[in-house]
Amino acid sequence: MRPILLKGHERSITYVNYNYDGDLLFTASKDNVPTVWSANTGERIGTYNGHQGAVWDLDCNKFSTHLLTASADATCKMWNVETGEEVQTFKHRGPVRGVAWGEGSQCFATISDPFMDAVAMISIYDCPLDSSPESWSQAPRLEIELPKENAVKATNLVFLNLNEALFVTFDDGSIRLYDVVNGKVLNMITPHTKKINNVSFNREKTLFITSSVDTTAKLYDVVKLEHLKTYKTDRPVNDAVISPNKEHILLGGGQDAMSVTTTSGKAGKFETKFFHLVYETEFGVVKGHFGPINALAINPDGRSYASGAEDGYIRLHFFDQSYINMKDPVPDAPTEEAN
Amino acid sequence: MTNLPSDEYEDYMSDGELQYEVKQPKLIENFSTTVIIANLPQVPESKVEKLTSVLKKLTGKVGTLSTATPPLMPMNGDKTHGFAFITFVSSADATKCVEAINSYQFDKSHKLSVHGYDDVCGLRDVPEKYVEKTARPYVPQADVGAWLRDPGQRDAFCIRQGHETEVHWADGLRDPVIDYDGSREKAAGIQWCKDRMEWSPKGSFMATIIKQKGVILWGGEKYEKLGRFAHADVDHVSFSPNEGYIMTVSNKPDAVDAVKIHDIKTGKMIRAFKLYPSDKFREEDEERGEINPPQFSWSYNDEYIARMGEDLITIYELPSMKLLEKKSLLADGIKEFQWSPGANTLAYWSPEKGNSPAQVNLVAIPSRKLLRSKNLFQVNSVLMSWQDEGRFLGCKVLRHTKSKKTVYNNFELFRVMEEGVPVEMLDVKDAVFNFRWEPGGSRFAMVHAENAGATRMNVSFYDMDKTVKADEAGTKKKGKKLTEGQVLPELNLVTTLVDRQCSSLFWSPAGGVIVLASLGDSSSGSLEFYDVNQTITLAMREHYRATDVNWDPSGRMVSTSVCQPLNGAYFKFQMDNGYMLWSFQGKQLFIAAYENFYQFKWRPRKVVLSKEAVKEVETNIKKYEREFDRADKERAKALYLEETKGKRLQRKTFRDRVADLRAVYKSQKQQRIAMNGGYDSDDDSNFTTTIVKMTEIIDTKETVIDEFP
Repeated sequence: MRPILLKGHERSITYVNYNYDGDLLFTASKDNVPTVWSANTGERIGTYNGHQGAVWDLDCNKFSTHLLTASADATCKMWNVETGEEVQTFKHRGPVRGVAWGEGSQCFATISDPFMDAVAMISIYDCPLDSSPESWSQAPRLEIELPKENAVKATNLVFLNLNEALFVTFDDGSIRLYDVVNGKVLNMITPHTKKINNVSFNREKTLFITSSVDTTAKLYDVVKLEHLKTYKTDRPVNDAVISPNKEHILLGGGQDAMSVTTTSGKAGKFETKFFHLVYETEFGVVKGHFGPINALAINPDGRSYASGAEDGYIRLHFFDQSYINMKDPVPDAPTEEAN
Repeated sequence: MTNLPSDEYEDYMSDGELQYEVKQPKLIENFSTTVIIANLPQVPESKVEKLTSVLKKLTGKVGTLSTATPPLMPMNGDKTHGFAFITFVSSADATKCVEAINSYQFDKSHKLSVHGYDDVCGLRDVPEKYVEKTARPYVPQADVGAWLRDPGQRDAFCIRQGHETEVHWADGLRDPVIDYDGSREKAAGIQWCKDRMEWSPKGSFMATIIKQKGVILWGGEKYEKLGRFAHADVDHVSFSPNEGYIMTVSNKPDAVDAVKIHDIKTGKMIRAFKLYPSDKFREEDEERGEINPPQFSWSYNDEYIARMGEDLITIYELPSMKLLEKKSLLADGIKEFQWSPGANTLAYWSPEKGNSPAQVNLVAIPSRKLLRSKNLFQVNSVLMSWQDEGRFLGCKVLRHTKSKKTVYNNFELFRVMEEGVPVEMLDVKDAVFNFRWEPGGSRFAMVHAENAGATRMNVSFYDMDKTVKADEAGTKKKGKKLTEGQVLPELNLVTTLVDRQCSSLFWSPAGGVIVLASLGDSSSGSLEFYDVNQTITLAMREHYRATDVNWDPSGRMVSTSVCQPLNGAYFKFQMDNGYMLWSFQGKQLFIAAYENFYQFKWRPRKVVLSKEAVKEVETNIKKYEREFDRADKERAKALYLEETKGKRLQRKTFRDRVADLRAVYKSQKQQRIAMNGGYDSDDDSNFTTTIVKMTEIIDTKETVIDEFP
């Protein structure tokens, strides 16, 4: 498997994701310029210029028409995916940490970090795409103040259950579900003991996997919020994704960026690890990065994946035929043949 | 002042009459704080005061003496009776005093006998009639050898990681499996082992060290608690080679019981010592802190224990712990001694002193016969090392030239088993970093380099025995005809490996194979598996940042591990903690990584078979091989069926769960389509998949290969 090395960003990658159809790859970096690439050839299609700070998160809507980006310059911007034009800017009082489209692309939500006297906030905006952007309200439809005590910070958010609930992960290892109408906490679980770096869902949004600094990734059931599986490693996990067509988990991480300089690339463990979804066993690694992997994304067709790292590179990998043909290690029926 | 809480100050402000309560000291009704010291010298009245002060000094080291009741020494006419009453502040101190000073050699002819006063009073009230005691009912002891009868012929090892202590089985074919992980202790809310663990030399016991309290022994099939040896601030433990005794040591120079020797079977302490022998390191000795306390060391068969003092070695007989023949072994200028691992023979060396040369001496115990003495000159230091059966003693002698400007190495190799103990010499010009005997063999390996600062090393193998090869057969040597295969006692170089990254040597316990490893801070953790019999490299491997290499007792597997110090002093290699298992041929078998990894210890196992029996097995290996292969296959099959059964079930449960979730997803289909403006994202007909094949000509080149004639 020979990856395509996507060189375009000047600073470390913060987030990578495919669009719903799997033909575009969006990447966010600390260099202020979100970029879109061809998911098949690795060609750089375009950039979205306008942010003044590191871009932490982005989300493209289902029809690949509008892109939302969350930036440390305290704005969230909406872009026309095709032309690269800025559609609208939504000002916040603190750095915007995460952004997510609602189902149907008529609303979206952001999380912003505390800044000066502004508290951490979840904001939900309405943006009917069929009306002109000028008619949209600049003020959020709903603002939820995050609890100030313990200084917990939100790290990710996702709309769930047909926009009825907002799923938010925190840096104390907890997950809260908020009601999108009144902002009340519907449910709360604490899967991890340390910060949850990332969360990702399967395509149907029925399973999710959290990746945490406590060196594990955990698989949960979305409907009952029940813990299903744990994937253990020996390093902080920065991102984990569920394969769409195989019972596999891809998991990336490494030491935190601060202590990287003290060890060699060999020891830093900057590989993507492959785990079996059900048996929780590791069966493969893909090496290549020379900084911790910050973000992973797998193409919805399950034939390729992208990893973005602290080293500023995105590596686009296309799976070998032998991986695509790989069968479950345990045969369906018990056989008398040993090994 | 107006708002004083009245009840709080009621007593204070009360106008009532003051009531005195006389505080009387509590009357202690027993004599548990008093001990009787008997067998003291009988002295006239004039000397009572002096003797009392000596006694006070002696007992004052053990505990605090009571000031209310000074030592009492009754008189018998004009001389004392020869005993004294000493009272301490607490009964604990008194008990400690009995433990520590009993059988103390007060002077040449007086050995103290110390007992609690209450105990002695007990003797006064001995009943007239003897009542036979009923025997204690027999309680079966845990079978400490159970693990040796493992049907899978597996080897066990123990790891300490995080808060866990786990004993695993490993057979080199499958991943290690947990035998016991302290689950009983966990259920009771206790951590099984908080500090360090050690195996006994034959693997029967596992000792866990609890710094504040002492040492606990575990063993048997279920790792039951088999013994506990109280010793506050314990730092080291050491088992006797036959597991009869255990020694616990705490590094407290002032304690009278810094070194305790216990009998494992009875669980009783048999004798306690100070950390330093009184004759060698006196309290006034200012440098004391810098000198390592001389360790006690056990003789190979549990018969003796010895430690060195100033110009002597004190040898105690076990289990009585009495000084052998009531006198120490004189060893003028002794610097270090070692017991032979195969006989009751002591080897010690002493440096040059004035005009007398440095010496290496071999002494047989208990006869104290000097077996061999070797004089050496211009000696800086001597490093002694016994071959594991005690057949050879190797001494690496670091010597200096007459000008004392340059140093060089020279080996003195003693053939201990032969008549007259012949010594062979081997000069090595290079700096020698390490040398190791082959277990059960006659070879040794050493790491050397041209200068001490070199990074690339050479490794040389020498054999103490020379086997006559076919082409030498028939020739004469010293008037004797040689035959093929004959073994001559002649030192010869086997081979030298040059330009290696290597700092440490690890022979397989089965001999023949050695691992050359570069360990430590600045090295890469490279490993070379080398077969000395065939003089070929089996494999070159690497375990980045490895700190330890350990062979399993059978020589089948090697473990390499990255451990951090147990006291957590520095977290240098936090990311790489864990261990790897390799086959003896260097094939990687298993990797385990942990956040914090402290210890990896194979459970030791002594070879029970005699050399002849081993040879017999080796000649009939084919027969055994078939048996083992069959057993292996059966086990593998059973395990495979068992494992897949579980996994299949796991998979089914998981898939059912996913199917249930999908049903929930499907039930929301209509709402979702409505939300997305009538678009069904699950409808595959929305997509068209086109496969585009692209050919790109990168370069074309035309060359004429051959002119057609």
